[in-house]
Amino acid sequence: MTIPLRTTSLSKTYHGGIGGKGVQALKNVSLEVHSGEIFGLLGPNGAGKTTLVKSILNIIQQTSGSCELFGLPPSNPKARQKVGYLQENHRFRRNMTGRGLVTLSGRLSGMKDPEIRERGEMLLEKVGMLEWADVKIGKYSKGMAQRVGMAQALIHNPDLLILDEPTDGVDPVGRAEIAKIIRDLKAEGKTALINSHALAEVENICDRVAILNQGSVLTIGNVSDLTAIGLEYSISGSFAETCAQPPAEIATIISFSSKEIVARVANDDAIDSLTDWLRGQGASIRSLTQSSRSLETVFLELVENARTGVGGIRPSADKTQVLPAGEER
Amino acid sequence: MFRGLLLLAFFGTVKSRLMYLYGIVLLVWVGALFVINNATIELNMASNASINGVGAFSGIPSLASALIFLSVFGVSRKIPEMIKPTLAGFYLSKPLSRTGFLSYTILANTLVFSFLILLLLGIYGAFLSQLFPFHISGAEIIKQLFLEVIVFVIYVPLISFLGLITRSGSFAFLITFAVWLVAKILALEEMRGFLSLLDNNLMTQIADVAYYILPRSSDISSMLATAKTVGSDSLNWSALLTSTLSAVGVYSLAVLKFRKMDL
Ligand SMILES: Nc1ncnc2c1ncn2[C@@H]1O[C@H](COP(=O)(O)OP(=O)(O)O)[C@@H](O)[C@H]1O
Ligand SMILES: [Mg+2]
Repeated sequence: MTIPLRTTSLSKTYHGGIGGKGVQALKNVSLEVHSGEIFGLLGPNGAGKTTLVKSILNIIQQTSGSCELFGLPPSNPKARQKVGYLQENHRFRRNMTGRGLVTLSGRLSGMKDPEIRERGEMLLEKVGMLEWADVKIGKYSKGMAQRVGMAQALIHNPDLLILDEPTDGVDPVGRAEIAKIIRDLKAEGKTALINSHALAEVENICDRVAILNQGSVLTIGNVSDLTAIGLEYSISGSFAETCAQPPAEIATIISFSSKEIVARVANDDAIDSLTDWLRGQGASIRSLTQSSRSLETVFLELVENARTGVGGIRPSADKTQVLPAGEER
Repeated sequence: MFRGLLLLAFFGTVKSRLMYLYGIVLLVWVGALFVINNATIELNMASNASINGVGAFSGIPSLASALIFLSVFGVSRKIPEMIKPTLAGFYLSKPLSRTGFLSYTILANTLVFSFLILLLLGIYGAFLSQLFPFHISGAEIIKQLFLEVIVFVIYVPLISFLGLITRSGSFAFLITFAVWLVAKILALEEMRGFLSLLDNNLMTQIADVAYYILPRSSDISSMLATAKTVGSDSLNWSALLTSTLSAVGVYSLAVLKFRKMDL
């Protein structure tokens, strides 16, 4: 099976007006989105997320490097046949109805009308817009426009769905529904690429993320790997006072109470030694979790490191690739 | 996919406010016909003689000009609307090449507005032939209608190209209007005389080149009349030929531009 999406050293410089210096919006971005995963492209406003997605869809042309959609260059219409896209800040024609938009999208994707009608009803129902389908888009709230936007992007049953800031301006209920639709798609074996500046919102639905800042990829990896704090564990149960001082070669205690211990173990294997030792002290262990932090914290740390030139964060798993900070990519 | 763009062009146009203007224009011209008809009947009764009150008036060229004006205005907004940053992604992410998208859009709008022009001229023509049955021959009117549509069609690539580069319907329309005006002036007999008086070779050459490059709308719409006055059976196709060639040229420029455009 061909990989849905790959970019290789993708760079894009927007040229300013006459004599303008230009903005380098993407700097050698290389990433892959694998079949069946939900991939998050995260970063603050102006990081280059939209630029990346537009290059992938041939809406803008990269300055250098290349992209592939299902193994084809994005300029090939066939490549886009399998892609559904909802752009950021879209404003569809105000005097068109939601159903009209979905129908137009289907027709422009080369579908036949009966098929459009059938799938259209199903999708409008799925995004909760069936009742509003014949109302003009000009009357929709941002959240409603976003939902018909999703239906429009899915009409031709694409294998890859690209959503740019899908939850922007959508209320919490709408956001949860959008997240559910994306999860359902994943269950059907579809792939999704989601752009967002709201890191906390997407960290729960993405399998993998790339964090982008000022046009460069800071890190790419599994969400759980990125957010895990390597050697830190919190252990709950009941602990005697004697548990507060494990041997230094096993672990150091960060916080201690009779119900919960947070400890940093000396190395990857030491967690077993620590639990053995605690049990030896008469402790009873109820749960053990690796400490984690939010993607936002990870992001801020990465940005700080990139700025000061200190090495990147230490991930807990090998799969995570962290790029040395400060390196010109 | 062409069907989708055609239906979009059609419904986008017939649902727009522009349709009221088409309606008003048609009403004004048909109204004028009735006024002239009544005047003719009164005149005939007064003088007890049969006078063809319409005389040289058929109203078709002036109505056609008004409809072409409206249609060029209507087309001017179509491309800038589709490449707006808030909408471009929707269209361009569809499985259609840039060339295909632009060509289909231009073709779809050309068809829709040509149909409108023909329809309204046809309605007017029906009134005309009812009220003044002897005034016109059907074959001639139909030929003339098609020439008027062609005048519109040769402006479409230009206005589309201008819409692409300015990204604004109003600018595109203004520039097209200016081009039409210049072409009109260059086509005037008086202009020839004026240029020969000037005795400036360069100016004359520039004017000549411009005359042949720009759409020669007045030459096209007067093709039939000119043939009649000259008394020749064969039409002079040169205006159609040069205008078509330059329209094709401008269309190619538009495609080349669009293929490389960041949206
Ligand atoms: N059409 C454009 N012309 C010039 N600069 C642009 C254009 N689009 C985006 N940029 C600039 O490129 C950078 C990245 O923008 P963008 O890709 O929209 O970021 P994001 O989607 O992550 O918020 C920003 O600095 C932005 O100002
Ligand atoms: Mg963006």
